[in-house]
Amino acid sequence: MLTVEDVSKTFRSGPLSKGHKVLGSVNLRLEKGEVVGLLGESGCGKTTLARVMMKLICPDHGRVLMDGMDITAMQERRFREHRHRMQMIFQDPTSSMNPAHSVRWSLDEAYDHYNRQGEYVELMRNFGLPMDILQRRPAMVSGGELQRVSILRCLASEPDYLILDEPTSMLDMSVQASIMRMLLSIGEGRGMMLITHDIDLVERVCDRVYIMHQGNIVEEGRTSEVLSEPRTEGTKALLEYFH
Amino acid sequence: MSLLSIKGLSVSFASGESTIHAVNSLDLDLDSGRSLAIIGESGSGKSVLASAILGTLEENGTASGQVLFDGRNILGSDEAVLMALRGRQICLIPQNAWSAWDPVIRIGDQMTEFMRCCGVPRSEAPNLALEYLKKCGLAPEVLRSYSHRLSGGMSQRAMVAMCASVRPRLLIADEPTKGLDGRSRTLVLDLFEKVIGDAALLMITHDLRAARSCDEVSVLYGGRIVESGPANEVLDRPLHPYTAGLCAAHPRRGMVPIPGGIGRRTEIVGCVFRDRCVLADHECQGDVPMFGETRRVRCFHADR
Repeated sequence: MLTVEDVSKTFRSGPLSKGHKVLGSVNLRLEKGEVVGLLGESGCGKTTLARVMMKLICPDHGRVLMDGMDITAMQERRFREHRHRMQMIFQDPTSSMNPAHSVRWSLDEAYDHYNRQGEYVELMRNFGLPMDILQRRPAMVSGGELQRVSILRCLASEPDYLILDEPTSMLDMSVQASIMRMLLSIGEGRGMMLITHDIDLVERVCDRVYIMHQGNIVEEGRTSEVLSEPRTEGTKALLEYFH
Repeated sequence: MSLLSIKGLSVSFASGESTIHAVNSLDLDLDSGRSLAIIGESGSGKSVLASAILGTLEENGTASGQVLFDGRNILGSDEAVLMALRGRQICLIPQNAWSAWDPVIRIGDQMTEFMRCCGVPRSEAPNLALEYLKKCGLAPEVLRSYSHRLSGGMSQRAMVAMCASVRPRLLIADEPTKGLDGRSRTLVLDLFEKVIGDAALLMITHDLRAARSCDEVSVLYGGRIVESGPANEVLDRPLHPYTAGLCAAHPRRGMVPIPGGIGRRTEIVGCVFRDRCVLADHECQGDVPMFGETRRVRCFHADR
C-alpha cells in the first residue's frame, strides 16, 4: 500500500518570496489491485502530489509510506533499490523518450537493465503494436502508439504502483479507449492512480476517487457515490462544469 | 450564397515515391452565423483542411478543387490576396495557444500588434484589447503579463479574445479544448457563442462534447466527409459505422476502441473506412456516394 500522510508543499521563487502553496495537507492511500482516480481542475496540485509520491520532489511536511516504509526520509541511494516498484506515465509520450534514438533503443535500455532482454516483443504483439515502429525515432511514431510504448517501457521493472498523469488527454477518443483498456489489462495486482480531469473516464474505470481542490483533498470515496452525491462545494463545481 | 463553400477539394502530399492523399474531393458549405464541427481521429485530414483554406500548406502539398470565400475562389491565390484575407476575414485559432504566443512579448503588445496589422487604428487598439479580454472573462492584468504566466485555459481564452477583436467573418478553431479541464473548456465554448456574432465558426476537434456545442457536425475520415448533419442528431444517432465507432469509444458509451489504425492513404478507390469496418463487403470496393439531404451519410450499409 502506498500511503500519503499530511503532505504539504509550497513553491518559492526566491528566499524572500512568500511562496505559492500548492499542497495543503494531503492524505491519500493507494492499495495494490485497485484503480484510484485523482480528479481536479488544472493547477489544483494533482501533478505536484504525484511527484511527491514518486519522490521526485520533497514535501515541506508529511511523508509517503510504501508498504509501511517511509520513503520521504529515506536516502536517495537506499531508495534506489525500491524505486523500480513505482512508475509514472506522463501526458506527453514524446517527452518521455529519447528523441535522438529509436524506439527499440529506448525499450532495450529499460528491459536490459532488468535483465529481461527483448521480452517486450511478446507484449507488443499482445497489445497490437506493429513491429516496424521499433526502428523509428519517437517523432515518427503516432501519439497513441508512442504512449503504448511508454507503458511497455514502464512495465520493464514490473512495478507495483503506477501513477498515470493524464495519460490520454492529448489523444483522440478511440485511442484513449484502447490505451485505457491496455492499462486495465496490465493493472491486475498493481495499484494504479489515474490523474485526470475527465469525469466520464473516472466514472468508467476507477474504484475509488479523490477530489482535489486548491491543494486539498475535499472529498473521497467510492466513485459512484462521490459523483452521484457530491457533498462539498468543490466537487459540485467540478461536476457542474462537466455536465 | 454560403460564406465558405468548398467544392471538390483534394490535397495530396508527395512523400518519397508515393503520394499521400490527405483530403479527397471534399465538399462543404458554411453560412455566416453558423458553426460547424469537423470531427475525426488524428490523421483524418482535419488540420490539412484548415491549412488548405488558409493557403498555408507545406511545400510538398498540392491542392485542387475550389475554396470559395464569399463567392471568390481563393485556392491557389497570390500570397498578397491571401495575406489580405488572413486575420481580417479568416482567422485561425491555433491548436496550442500556449506555444502560439511569443514568450518574450507581453500579451497586450501582441494583441495590439495583431489588431494594427488588421487595420485597427493605433489609438483604438488598446481599448479594444481591454474590451475583448473583459468579454472573455479575463482581468485587465493579463495585458501586462507574459504567456507563461497564464494557465492553459486563460491562454486559450486570451487567444480567442485576440482573434475575435478584429471581427473576422470566418473563425477556424483547431482543437480549441485540447488538454483543458472541464471548467476552462466550458468557458472557451461559451465564449465562442458570445463573441462570434454573425461570423461563421469552423471548429476542428475530436472532443465530442465540444462538437455538440456547434450547430452542425461533419465527420471526416481518410480525407472524406463520411457523415454530416445537425450536431445532436449525428452524435446521438450516428448512421455511419465510423461515427458510431467514435461515439462508442467514449467512456460513457462503452469505451470500445475502433479496431485497427487510420494509416496513410495512398490510393483513393472505394469506401475509405472499409479496412476497419465490420460491415464491409464487396460493394464497398467501389465508389460510395453521399446519401440523404440534411442527414448525409456515405455508406451503403448505414441504417437510413
